[in-house]
Amino acid sequence: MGTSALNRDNWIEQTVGVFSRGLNILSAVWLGSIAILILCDVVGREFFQSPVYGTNEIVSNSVVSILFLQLPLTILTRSSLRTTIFYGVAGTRGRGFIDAVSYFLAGLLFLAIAVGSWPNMVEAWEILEQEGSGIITIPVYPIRTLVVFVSFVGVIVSGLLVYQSLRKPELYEESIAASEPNEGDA
Amino acid sequence: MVIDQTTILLLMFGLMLVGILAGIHIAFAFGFTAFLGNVILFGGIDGEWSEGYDIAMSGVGSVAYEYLRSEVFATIPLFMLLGDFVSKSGAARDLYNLINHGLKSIPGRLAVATVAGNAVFAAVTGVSIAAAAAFSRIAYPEMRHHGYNKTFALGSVAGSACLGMIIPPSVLLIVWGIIAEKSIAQLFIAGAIPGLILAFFFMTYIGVMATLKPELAPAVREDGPPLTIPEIASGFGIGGLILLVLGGIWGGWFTPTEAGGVGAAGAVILGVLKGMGLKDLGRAIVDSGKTGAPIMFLLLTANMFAKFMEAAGMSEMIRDTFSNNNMGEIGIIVVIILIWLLLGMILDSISIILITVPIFAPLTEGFFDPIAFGIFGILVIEAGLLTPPFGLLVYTVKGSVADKSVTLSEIFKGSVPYWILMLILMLMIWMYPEIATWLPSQML
Repeated sequence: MGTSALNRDNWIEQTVGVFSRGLNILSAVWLGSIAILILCDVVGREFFQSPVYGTNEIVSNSVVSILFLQLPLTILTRSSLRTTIFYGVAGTRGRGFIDAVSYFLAGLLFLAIAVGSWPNMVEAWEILEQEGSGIITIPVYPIRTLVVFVSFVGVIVSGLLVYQSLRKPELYEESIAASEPNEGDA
Repeated sequence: MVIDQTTILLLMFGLMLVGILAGIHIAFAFGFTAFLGNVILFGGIDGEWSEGYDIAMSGVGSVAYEYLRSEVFATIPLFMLLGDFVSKSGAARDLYNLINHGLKSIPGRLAVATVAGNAVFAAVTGVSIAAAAAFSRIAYPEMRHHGYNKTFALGSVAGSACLGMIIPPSVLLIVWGIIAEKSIAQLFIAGAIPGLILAFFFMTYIGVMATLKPELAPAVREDGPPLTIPEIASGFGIGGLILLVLGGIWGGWFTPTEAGGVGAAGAVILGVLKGMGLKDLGRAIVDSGKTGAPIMFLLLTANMFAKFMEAAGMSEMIRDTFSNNNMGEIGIIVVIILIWLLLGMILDSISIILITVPIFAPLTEGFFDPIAFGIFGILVIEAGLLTPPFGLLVYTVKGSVADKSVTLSEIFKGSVPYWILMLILMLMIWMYPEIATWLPSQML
């Protein structure tokens, strides 16, 4: 039973991992493109009197997507910020419990974001919501969809981490990192 | 059940702090207590729970989408990207070697080079923890190799990492600008003079100590191997990058967001010149997401909490508390300083700004210039990172030096003089806010 449970965990973990990494790379490409777009806009404006129109709108509307696409991997790799005064001395089981509570709350939060954003997303599709004025308008219904979609992914990732933290806390201790005091130093 | 909104506010604030202390990830603690607080606030007082749920749901939903939809938030991932390209290119070591060569035979030369190099590096990468980690590996072994006193060497690494945070461009200045709703460009300019003063303080301290007690920092005669052309190029490359970013903002050619974009593109060129391949560049972009995303998500959830606190009548409550207690301006500032130093022992600078600035900024607006208050605040918060027993920077240095015989108390001891110098500058800005506000008033 032990092996098959492990295999099943691995299968789920791997799928979630690959998927989160994929979203993260998409976000990285998006961010890199934004940097290039800004460079073109500034160079065009300062040296050739021809800015790239719509840069501002594109940049403003990209930040949400860039962040949300990075979130699943951020949670999965346990990179969210925390303080370790008690966590650092809590012991393996204690740390597993704190992690489980933390990711359970994260799951609830993402569920609230997903459900809370749903009505606006539906409405945005009905009117094909656009953003911006004048020459350039940006369709924002895909961004609203992305927020809802990634929040649901966040619920799944958080659930997985709750399970990991309770079942196999010893496997996930590496994240306490350098900020933990070493013995004998205090 | 009779419960008034002030009680809900205090309960949720307490719950949030307890959660954070217990080790709940800060962003989740913010977001969840904001949600719960809204449910109780809009559902619990009059017993209409389902209405409370609806309002709380649409509250977090709308913040998630609306809050970050502003050009100004793009500064964070873009400056993170810039910083990651620079750190991964290995330019920090070149910068250190270049400055070290330029200093020739001044007293405490290696420590002075550490302060200067660390300040420039921390400024351009925007994160003091990263700067402390890099220079623990680069400068500390070099100083020890030349017979520097351990505590003295460690202090110069930990102390100078704080310096970069008030020298623009710095992520802390960006976050402060966003949270306090002040101009990031103004804050960037305001940080320059205090940053130079602090650098001067640090270097003077090192010079004086090295002269009075040469055993702390023996004179280094040899220059080491001659500088290679790539070293010179990348040292000047970083200088050029800072000039480009700051010059562009100060000269009014571009906004801080655009500076982030242009700077990131410039850093790619620097990275390529330093021999970074496509794979390294790709890794830098992906890694910058790993540091940037948690910060942006924190901003997002902190805004959820701030919205809840506003709805629960935070402003009125704080105003009443402080006017009832008759603390006076000095009393308010002293309390603020103590809270920041305390929080600095347990939390990172950005989280401290997110929790406290929405409360402190309006409180001091009547008698403390908001731009000077920003520089003042960042100084105190960064000093907190050096405060025992939990100063985060000290642990970072400990975690990063290869020398396992280094103890935490040695690092704390070495950092004390830097800590004091930071508090002296803080007092100077409190008494003469012009130190921070003069330059922006001339330029903008």
